[in-house]
Amino acid sequence: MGQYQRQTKHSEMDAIEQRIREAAVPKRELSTYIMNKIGENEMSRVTRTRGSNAKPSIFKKTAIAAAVAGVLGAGTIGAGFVSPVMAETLKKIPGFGVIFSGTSDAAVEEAIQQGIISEPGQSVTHDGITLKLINLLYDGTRLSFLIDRDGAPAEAETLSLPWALRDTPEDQLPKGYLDHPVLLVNGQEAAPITSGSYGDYVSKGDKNVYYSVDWNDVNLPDEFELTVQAKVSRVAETFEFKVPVKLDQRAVVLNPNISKDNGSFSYTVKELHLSPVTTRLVLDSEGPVPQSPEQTGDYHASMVYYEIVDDQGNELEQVRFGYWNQKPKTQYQVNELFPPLDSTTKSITIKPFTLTVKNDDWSVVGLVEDSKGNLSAGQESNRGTRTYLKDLEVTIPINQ
Amino acid sequence: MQLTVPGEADERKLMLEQAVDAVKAGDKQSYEIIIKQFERQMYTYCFYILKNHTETEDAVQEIFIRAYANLHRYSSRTSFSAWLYKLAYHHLINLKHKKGRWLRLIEHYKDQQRQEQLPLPDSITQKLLIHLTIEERHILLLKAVEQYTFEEIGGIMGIGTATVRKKYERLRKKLIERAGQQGARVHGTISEANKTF
Repeated sequence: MGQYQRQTKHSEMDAIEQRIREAAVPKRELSTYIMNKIGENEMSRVTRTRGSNAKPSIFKKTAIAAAVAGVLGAGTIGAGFVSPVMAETLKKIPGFGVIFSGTSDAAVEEAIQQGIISEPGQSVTHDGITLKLINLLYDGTRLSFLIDRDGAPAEAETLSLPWALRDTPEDQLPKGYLDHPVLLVNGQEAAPITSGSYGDYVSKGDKNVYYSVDWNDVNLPDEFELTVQAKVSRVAETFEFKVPVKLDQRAVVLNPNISKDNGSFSYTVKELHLSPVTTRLVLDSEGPVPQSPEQTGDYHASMVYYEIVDDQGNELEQVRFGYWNQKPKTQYQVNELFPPLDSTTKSITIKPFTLTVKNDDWSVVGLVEDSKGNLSAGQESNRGTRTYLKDLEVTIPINQ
Repeated sequence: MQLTVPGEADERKLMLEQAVDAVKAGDKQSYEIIIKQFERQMYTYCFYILKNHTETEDAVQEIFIRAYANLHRYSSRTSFSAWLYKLAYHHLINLKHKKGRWLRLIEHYKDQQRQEQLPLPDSITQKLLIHLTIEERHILLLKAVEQYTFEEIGGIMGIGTATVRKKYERLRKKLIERAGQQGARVHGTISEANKTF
């Protein structure tokens, strides 16, 4: 401090400015989170904080565990229709419900045959913590994998750093929190992970924590070496997994370029990716979101969401459903994952809809939440009361 | 972190412009390059205005999302950096307006308490900044985090260069004076903090 006081007035100012520059450092990189929000494909769920911090944020905080519970529920329901032989196979895939949400047993069987899913089962132990890369899915349009953790102290109950501890210096944190992994393709750093989530799954009667990732929009070759590098709090070494990935058949990409217009709002279906385990819908929309009479006054219409219905009348829901604390924009690029279509599907109908949102607290009409503001398991398919935009429905032929 | 070598700064500018063009052309992922270039400085800027990590995280995210949504309005006649900070400046001003005086008072009190209980590495700076008006704080922060010129700061805040210069001179005097007064006390706080850790 003595030295500081001897400095000239201007250099004192420089010192203050330098201190400002170097002082407030974010605890974590926000870029991944922001990219997630922009992609609108994160498992956004409502955990509203009320009271002194009740400032409506542009988007709702995520409570991934709750959303994942719902996904698991869906997986279990699916498993009810599984043949005994298939059931045996499925049981061997850890975290099945997480990585294959909305996927039929037939689809998984096909995926196994096509080499889409692999079970590397690699584990790495550093400093008493073991991370295991238990399965990996790559179908040419998405890459998903599951990591689980063992050996963490009881106080690090969750796998991710809890929100409340995000400002705590690392040396004061419990050991064992997993940071978002970095992915390398053939040794080169690839595009950042677009959406990752933490949760629990139950296997062999134990509760395990896992990290699952869906990696979108990447132009990956059919064959490559994937490196997954993960950092864990208070463990100096990086956990590294290297997995060879080889795909026999990529997802089929259709470019329908079919548009629908109601005079003010229009959208164009740009791409449809089809694989045994995934449907990806890519579309652009333009224009103000149509408002129904119920969506005026104290309420407004949300952004437009899209439901897919196949020619057998089966409804497909987008896998990740984001709620935004923001009035809808006039331009969107939608890029969402849906469960796979049956290989016999000849056409699909896209049914656009909106939710009705209350202006003053961003609550969604018809959305059932528990006292903590989370969706309870089983409510996943609800997602709020839908206003279908019938004049904007479009049917797209599928020539696989 | 700060780019002071002229060639390097030009390179950064070019890289940013390229990234902006790529995003405009539909390459969403290039936006991450842009975020990474600014997130830390933007965090610092927002933190010293909002004085709360939760709100800062929210604000930084909102600013980048808004910038993304409005990117088509940006033209390379101005620097992207100045355009982004102009958006940030207005966002912060709006946030402060919305919060209202009463809430601010409570938070100010809470902040003070927290700082006394748990001195943060940047608490000396925080204490100094308390003596500045909100406008002065913006000027100082913009100068500090991105090393903007008075002209650029004027552009961001919508005031003349001469006014910025005059206001900066005033805030500089204030700060130097306060730093002198606080020297001994601040020093004491640090020693105490060192003991507890």
